[in-house]
Amino acid sequence: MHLGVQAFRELFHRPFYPSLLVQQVYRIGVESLGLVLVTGLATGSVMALQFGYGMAKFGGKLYVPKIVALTIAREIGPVFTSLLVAGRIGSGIASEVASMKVTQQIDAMRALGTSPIKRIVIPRMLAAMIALPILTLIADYVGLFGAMLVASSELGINPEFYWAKTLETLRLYDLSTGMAKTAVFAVFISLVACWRGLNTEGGTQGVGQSTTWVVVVSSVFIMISDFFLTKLFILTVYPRV
Amino acid sequence: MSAQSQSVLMIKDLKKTFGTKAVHRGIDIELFENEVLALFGGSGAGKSLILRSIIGLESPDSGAISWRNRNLSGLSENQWIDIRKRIAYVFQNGALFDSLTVFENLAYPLREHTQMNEEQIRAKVAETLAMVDMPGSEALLPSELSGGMQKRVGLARAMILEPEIILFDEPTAGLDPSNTARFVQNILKLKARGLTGIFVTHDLASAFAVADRIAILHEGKIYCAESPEKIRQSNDPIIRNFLFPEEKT
Repeated sequence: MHLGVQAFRELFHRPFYPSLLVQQVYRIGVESLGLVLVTGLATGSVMALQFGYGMAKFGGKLYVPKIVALTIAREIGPVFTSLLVAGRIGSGIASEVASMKVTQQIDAMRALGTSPIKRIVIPRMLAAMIALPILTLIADYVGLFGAMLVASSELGINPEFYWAKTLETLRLYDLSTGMAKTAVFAVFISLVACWRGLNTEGGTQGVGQSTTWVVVVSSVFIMISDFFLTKLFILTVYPRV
Repeated sequence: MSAQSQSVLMIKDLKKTFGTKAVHRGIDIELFENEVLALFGGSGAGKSLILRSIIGLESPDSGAISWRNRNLSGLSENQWIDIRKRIAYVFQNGALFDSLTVFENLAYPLREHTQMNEEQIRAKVAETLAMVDMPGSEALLPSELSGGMQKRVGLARAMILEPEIILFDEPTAGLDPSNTARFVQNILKLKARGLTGIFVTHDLASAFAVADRIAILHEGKIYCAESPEKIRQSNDPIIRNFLFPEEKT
């Protein structure tokens, strides 16, 4: 909490480190892309398969595009992507910062008259806030594409019909609320990973413990806060049924 | 150090407790311009803690530290930044940034705190590396350096901004005799240029080689701070027991 307040307070004060931000966007965003593409494709495909066979019993196969689109855009895309990023990037940040802490590199940074908050925390937090919503958007599209492939090959739904129904169903707020959720998750994952890394004690064993702790706490936070954010969006953004 | 030397750093009644263990029970140290003070003490006595307190990496429970009559107590992290440009710290293991090359490690403080262009930075880095007998090592990563070389690069990084005071945290610990001698030579070179610093060590020979005064930390207080000659000739059992334990046998 204190680290978050400090980070947001120092966000607007010099010096700024744009090159570190770009570096982190690359590490968090570009380097996570492959994982997100594969997972998005697999998730969309399996959802179409499950919904298709499940709803075929009730003659509701044609509702698959609508249900899959809403589920991916509002829930599965943001939550799965955030969980993947929490696993990959949260652990990466925690282990990197914790290693720097136990080898006195953080102390060296301070002793050289620079702020670890500015050089470590802020670039990672901003990069996660930029990269995670974009990754989510990509995961959404890939997931929808995977669902369409399975729907056409396994369920016999015409691809053009599938896209038309998907586009007819999805509204901007479906995508934007999903992306907004991931921005909240991004702040939490990056801050908690930096905080734990900066407070790591106990040598290499401490580094391992910090890494595991960050993944567990971030994942639990994502799942629990997703419920409250969804409730908030239902009350404020989504149209009343 | 001349008789007219000015006091540059003053520590008064510094106290620090961790849990129930009182590490510092009232430390008093005065450091003069162009003076190297060697600080001895048993393991866990709080020698490094004194250095960390001076530079604000640890907060004492009470007491005062002043640098050129400026009170360093209660400064914010941003206020410390200015002080840390003038008081440098050489870490025990070098604490080099392991993802950066030697050049990037040395360029780091220059990029942060000066307006030098890349050409000037390159020249300054090369000059400083030459001073620690490591010319041409700019492209190496810390993982490609020996322990002694890492410490010398750490020293180079600490002195690159030409600070007023350098704090050495056991710089010769873990070094073989030849690397120790080389590191001591580096410090003597700096001393010839007017180095002011505190040298925390367990290495008696290095301390006697570089120090103008030797202070002994005993039971949370500075037991004595005298010239190497006086320390060597002292008959005080605590001093002799601490510095020359082989005499007991």
